[in-house]
Amino acid sequence: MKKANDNNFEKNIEKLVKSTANSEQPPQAFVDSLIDDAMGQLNQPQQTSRPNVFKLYLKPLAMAAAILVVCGLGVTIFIPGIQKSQKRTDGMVAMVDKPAIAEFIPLQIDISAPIVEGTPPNLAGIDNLEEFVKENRPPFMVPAGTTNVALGKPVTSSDEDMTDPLDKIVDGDASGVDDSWVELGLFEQSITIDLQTAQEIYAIVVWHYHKQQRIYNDVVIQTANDQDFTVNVVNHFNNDTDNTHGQGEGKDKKYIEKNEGRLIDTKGTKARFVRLFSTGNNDNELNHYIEVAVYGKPVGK
Amino acid sequence: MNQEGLWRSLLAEVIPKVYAMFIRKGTNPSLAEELTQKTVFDAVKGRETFDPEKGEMAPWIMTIAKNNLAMEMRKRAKAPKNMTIEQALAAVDDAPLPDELLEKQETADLVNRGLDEINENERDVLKAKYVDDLSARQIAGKLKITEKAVHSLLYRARISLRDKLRRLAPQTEGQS
Repeated sequence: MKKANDNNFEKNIEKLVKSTANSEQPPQAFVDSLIDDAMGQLNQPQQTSRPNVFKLYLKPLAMAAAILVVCGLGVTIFIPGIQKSQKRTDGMVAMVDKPAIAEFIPLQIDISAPIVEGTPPNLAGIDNLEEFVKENRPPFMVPAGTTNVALGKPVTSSDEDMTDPLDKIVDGDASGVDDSWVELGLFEQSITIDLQTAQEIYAIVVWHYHKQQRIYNDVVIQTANDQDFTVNVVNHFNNDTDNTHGQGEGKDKKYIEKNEGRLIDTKGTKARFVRLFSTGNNDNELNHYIEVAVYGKPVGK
Repeated sequence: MNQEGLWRSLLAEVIPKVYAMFIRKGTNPSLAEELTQKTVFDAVKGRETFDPEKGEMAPWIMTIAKNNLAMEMRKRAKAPKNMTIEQALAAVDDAPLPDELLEKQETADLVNRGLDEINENERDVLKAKYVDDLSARQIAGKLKITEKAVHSLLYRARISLRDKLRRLAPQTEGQS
């Protein structure tokens, strides 16, 4: 995978340069950042409460379990045929015996009907453009309990002069109707979403303006543990082939916007911040976002 | 002091000790950072399992760190070995570098030589970013350049160092 290659190269150079550090002390920036991340984790509700009562009963429970195992072995050895006959007569027994598997379910994304307007633009001659697929993508599987963790979270942008409210990007409305999108200024721009705590992120879905067949330039989608994007920076998508944004030379293809948005598989990456770059589009030099959804779960949940 | 304040002061004291323990045990700085991060998250996540009657929290976190190191060593024992620096550098764009290689003195010596031989600005930006762990904004302030220039310089510096290291790497005979 080319995306992984970019990350491997950067990560390897980082590790090589770090290997020259000859101190037993960690960099102060690392300590500060890790403490901040830990505080984010601390402020989340505990995954499971294990009261000390559990410890009190741990030994008796372990003994009881051991006795049950011994009894089970005895039944298996001395009463042969019981399991076989059960499996022959009732197929459900074998099914019940199977260990539990982590539950994965199709990601539910609210997709509005397409509202493409106007004359389709001439897309001939655009390099590195992936083939347009009219049909919607197949279901994307995520662990049960995954939600849009970006909903209502703070958004900042590189454009200090913009007037559209940035919270529209995380309001859950990806329809693309008028007033549902925000416009950032000319050329290179970015937005950053603070998820406020570390999340296990399984997918990021971005909707730029999709009322026309638009292609946004130099799209980079990345995550990190800190606002400055210095810790655990991962590029999940990058079609910035000439490295306009300085985030590495992208190897992904350009794509045409659709009403279903662009889904990026982020493979459960743990991060708190999500940043998206672009450099205008095939129609004009402006940058637009209708919605960005980040599907994940709090770390450890 | 509130709960968060207590944790902040505990972690400020414990993180350098945990990191130093990993370095003393021979892990490379990148891995030491990863393991330290895992240890801290494990401790915060499992804080309700801490039993104050059995001792203080700092030694408890150190025990978590030692367990994490032991797990890492077990994982490493199963991983394929014997990659030369030359082979690793040939694959530097595509595959993660083995930790064992990063822990060899000859690797650090080679990287130091490579850093000495690239352009001074490129060397400074790589060290500021990866050794001092400074943000692009902090580096921009230090080098008196824009944040965007920092990113461009970093990009060029990574490529320069990779190319220099490939030229400097000892050629190994008889490798298949």
